[in-house]
Amino acid sequence: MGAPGDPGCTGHGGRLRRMAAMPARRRPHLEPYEVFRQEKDGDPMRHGGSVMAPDPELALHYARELYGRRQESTRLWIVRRADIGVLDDPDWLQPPLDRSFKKPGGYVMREKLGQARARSGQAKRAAGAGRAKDPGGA
Amino acid sequence: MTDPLALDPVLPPRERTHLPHNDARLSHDERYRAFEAHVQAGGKIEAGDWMPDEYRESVLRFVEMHANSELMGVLPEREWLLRAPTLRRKLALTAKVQDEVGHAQLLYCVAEDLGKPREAMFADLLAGRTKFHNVFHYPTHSWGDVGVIAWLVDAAAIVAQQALRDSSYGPYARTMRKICWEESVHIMHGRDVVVTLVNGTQEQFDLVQEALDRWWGPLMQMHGPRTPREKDRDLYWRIKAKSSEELRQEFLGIYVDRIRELGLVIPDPALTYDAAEATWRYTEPDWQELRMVVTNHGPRSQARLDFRRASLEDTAWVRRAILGAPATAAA
Amino acid sequence: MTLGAGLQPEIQAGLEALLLAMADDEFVIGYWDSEWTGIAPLLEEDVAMSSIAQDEIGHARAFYSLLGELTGRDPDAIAYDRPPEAFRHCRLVDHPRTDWAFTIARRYLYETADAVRLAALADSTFVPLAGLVAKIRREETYHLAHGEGWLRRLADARPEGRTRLLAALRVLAPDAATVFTPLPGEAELVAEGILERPSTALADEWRLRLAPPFDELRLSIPGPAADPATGRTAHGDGFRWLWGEFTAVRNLDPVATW
Repeated sequence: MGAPGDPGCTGHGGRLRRMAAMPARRRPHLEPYEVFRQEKDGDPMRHGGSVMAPDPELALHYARELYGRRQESTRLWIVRRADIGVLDDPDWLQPPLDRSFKKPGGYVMREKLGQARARSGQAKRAAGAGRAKDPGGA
Repeated sequence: MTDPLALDPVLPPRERTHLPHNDARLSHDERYRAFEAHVQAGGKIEAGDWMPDEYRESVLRFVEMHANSELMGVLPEREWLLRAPTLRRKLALTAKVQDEVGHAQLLYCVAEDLGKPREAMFADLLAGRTKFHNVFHYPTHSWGDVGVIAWLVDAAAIVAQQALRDSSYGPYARTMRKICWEESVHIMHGRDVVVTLVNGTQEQFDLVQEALDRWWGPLMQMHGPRTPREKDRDLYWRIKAKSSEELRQEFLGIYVDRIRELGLVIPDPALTYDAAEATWRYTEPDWQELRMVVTNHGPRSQARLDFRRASLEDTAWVRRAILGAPATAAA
Repeated sequence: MTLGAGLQPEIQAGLEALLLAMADDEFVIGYWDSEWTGIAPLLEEDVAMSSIAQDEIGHARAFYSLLGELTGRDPDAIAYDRPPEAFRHCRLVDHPRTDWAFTIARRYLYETADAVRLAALADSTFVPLAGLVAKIRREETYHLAHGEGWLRRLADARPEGRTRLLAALRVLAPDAATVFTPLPGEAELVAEGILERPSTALADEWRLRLAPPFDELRLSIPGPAADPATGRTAHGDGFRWLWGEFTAVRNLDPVATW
């Protein structure tokens, strides 16, 4: 195991890496802070960009200025780049074996439905036709 | 007990890597070819990706010049910050210049993430080793210039910037989208100033016409001389998508009519639209002037670089004391 | 009490003096600090200081508009179409921006004083003013946070930051309390509940509020204003230069539309 603060903590088999190396110098010094923003209520947080700042307090002000001075955001998250872990290992994110059972596209029923309808005597309804009420209930 | 998270990857390099150019186990040539294929297919490159030196240097040069231009572009308009004739114009102009500073910040961050510290970029700018766009080397004379710069110079810039929104370099493309959105407000502010002036007194109209007479030449030079597409490496790497001439034609296509409908006269009698060829004809811009200006021999080049150097020196103590950055950009 | 109700002349006069003083304070400090746009110590800080300066101009615009409704004049005309002697900003904001330490020191003294003044107007019986003040106070929380942060950073940055801060505070000390220069007609405003307390009481409260941060940072709290009688009427060469700048284009044709 690498020491905490090593770029690339090896407790994850080297799969998780730091976005930026831990700063060697003591504060104050300029370092990047990543800014995430929410455009309107209910939206997810999205990465906006980064600001350089000597401490979290000024990073907050600068994030507000660069990503919020036009009232274009309803929420901001400000995170030191050195505190962000990055996972982009393809073995973990795009593993090769079939996983289609996890996605809607993995369930193609056109043929089977066609067979079932043919057996029950009901042709597939034409596209655009109104939905006839089923007298027996759905 | 074995820690499953500490196991080495099982599959060989070629089969496991999502982006081959990032696979350190491939040869340089293999990585280069994979990179080329990725970019030519419309793929994006991020800051942490492996890049051929040529690509990294090209993007850095492109972004750095853009960042420098925003930083220097602040100065001509800044001359009028205190002189705005109404409260609303004062607010609008201050906000616009503030936006240019914000754009410089965004772009210097993109360049920094490619490996060049901000202070080094300032030092190279002040020493004349890197450049900034021609239009920011010229003087301003009146409030008419404020309108013309905010409207037409920003318009010419936005034509170029819109074509960069799909740049192969991801961070730059995303920054361009943000910048384009913000610049659209500047153009409206500029056009509002110009239209207000042309609707005013004869003296106010003359302010704009006189400014247009001076700025038309630099505007036509702004997108640069025609270069053949096949020789343009920035086009090859899809850092940019359109050639100089395409950008100039696009600018003319939108703005000539908008200028003329205000009763203003564009100071190029040869400027006409050739419908048969679907192209604008114009007097050939003075490329010699452009070369001289961008190598810092323009009318205000040195004065503005000196001003920038002085303001960096005046504030060096703040960076030293508080912000922990290397204090000075040595000339 | 609203604009529609005819105000007694003494009240109106006092109210106009108050609004003009506040408008001019915000206008002048906004203009000085807007000069940092493009040349501040750090790009990010450049954007921040510019926003704060724009906020001040925005507040000035709002005060000039309110004054305009009371007097039937156009706000731009009130702001721009007068000689330098007719300005009623306090001497604290009359000084040019000078260097970063001076700007931060002056901004801190002004913002803390303005906060006390605004609090005394928050429940004003003159409803349009109370409404405007409520909005302004919300924006000012950002200015105060930013300003206090910088005051601390400079005070703790030894030797250079602290030295410059102390030098700036020494220059500003004789003028700091001019924000509270008693206004003509003030007594009537207090009697009517338009202004909660007189300026002298506000100045005392301001000093009380400065005590905790200033004591902690070992800075000297400014005393009474030197030459209080001219606190809002004596303007220096720096301001005259600024006046020349901000009237330059407008004076080409003050009646034209710009």
